[in-house]
Amino acid sequence: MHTEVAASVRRSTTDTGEQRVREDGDDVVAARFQAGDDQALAVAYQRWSGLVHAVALRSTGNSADAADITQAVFVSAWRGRHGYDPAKGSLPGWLMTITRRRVADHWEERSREDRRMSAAALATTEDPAEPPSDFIVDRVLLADELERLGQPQRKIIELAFFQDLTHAQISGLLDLPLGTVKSHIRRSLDRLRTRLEVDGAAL
Amino acid sequence: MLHCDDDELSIIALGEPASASDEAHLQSCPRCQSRLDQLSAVVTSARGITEADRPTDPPPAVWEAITSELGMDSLSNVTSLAAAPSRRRRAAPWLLAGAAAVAGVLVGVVVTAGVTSGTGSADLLASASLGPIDDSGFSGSAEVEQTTAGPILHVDVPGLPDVDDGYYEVWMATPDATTMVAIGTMNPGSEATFPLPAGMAVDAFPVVDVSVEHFDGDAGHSAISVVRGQLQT
Repeated sequence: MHTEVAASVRRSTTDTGEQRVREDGDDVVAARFQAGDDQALAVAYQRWSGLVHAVALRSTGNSADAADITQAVFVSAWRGRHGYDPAKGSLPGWLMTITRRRVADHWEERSREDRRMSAAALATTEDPAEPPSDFIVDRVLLADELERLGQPQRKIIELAFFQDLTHAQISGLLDLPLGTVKSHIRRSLDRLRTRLEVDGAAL
Repeated sequence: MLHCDDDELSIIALGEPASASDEAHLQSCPRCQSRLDQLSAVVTSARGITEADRPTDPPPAVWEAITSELGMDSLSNVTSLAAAPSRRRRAAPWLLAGAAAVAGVLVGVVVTAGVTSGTGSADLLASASLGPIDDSGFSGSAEVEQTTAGPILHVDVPGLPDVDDGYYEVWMATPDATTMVAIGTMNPGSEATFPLPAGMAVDAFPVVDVSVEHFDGDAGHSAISVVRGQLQT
């Protein structure tokens, strides 16, 4: 028994009211967030800052910009929480919407700067390569949802997605009946599609 | 007219050929075609995933900046929570682009199947992401796999430096960390694999911890951990 380690594990999991909120479902956290419960902000940050940050990092390719965008997203989400309606969409979906907007602002500002700097040179910056952030949001959400799949679903869908194996090959490789492989694939695809619908849809 | 089976549509979305009857039906059924289009879009996006698309925690300073900007300084103590092991962070070898990773997955599956053929299948029992403790800056992964020889634990913590006058030790602990089992020593720069003690109730020790130990004759945990995480099935 090692009390220091025990204490540090406890410290990281049972502080104050966070414990209660941390165990709440996403919809309960969303309702608390909307109602102004600041512990819910902390939980929302724990659950979804990784998504926001990944989208920002992927869209800007710059870690300082990604940190700034992440900060701006949570600050404006909190300040604008009265404009969020949990009945109309998930909280992570709303955060993704704000993230998209912030990424777009970032690129707009960047292109303004570019234009200013290169106006004399008549550089072709009228249509700067704006990153397709919807695709980025989708991929980040899908990567997250894939990690949440249990086994053997995850292994099956990995083999189908990333090794291009047919369901018959997967069935042979994992020694699972064909029908089982097919229904796992159908359920996993459905789950991924639902995740995009719930958290990826622009509100 | 019978609609396409959802299982079949999923397989078709993955690129397998449709049967002649499904093919004919899809030509004339907007409902099934639209469903197939939705699933195909998911497949296309998913196949475009790379390592860079995995959710990544922002640096701790971001949370501090948020609480400070919002004037919620009392909340800033949850910074540690953002890095707590409860945060799900699993290894995702399938996201590593490239043939090496692809071959690795396949070889892994085949070897596993080969070793255990006839005596039941080896399987991943649980996995954990190992997050940094006290800003150690390291993270890694752990997996418990069932083999015919009993459960084994794989631990991988990339980039660990050498320890002055010491070494790394892997532990498994109860969720409240009141009871810890020393699993074995681990050298920096390599993935370690340990057979778990026969009869050990793995479920009761879901916390995987890597500590820095010194050659001091004390068999107990030094209380200096570099990474820790909780196994999830």
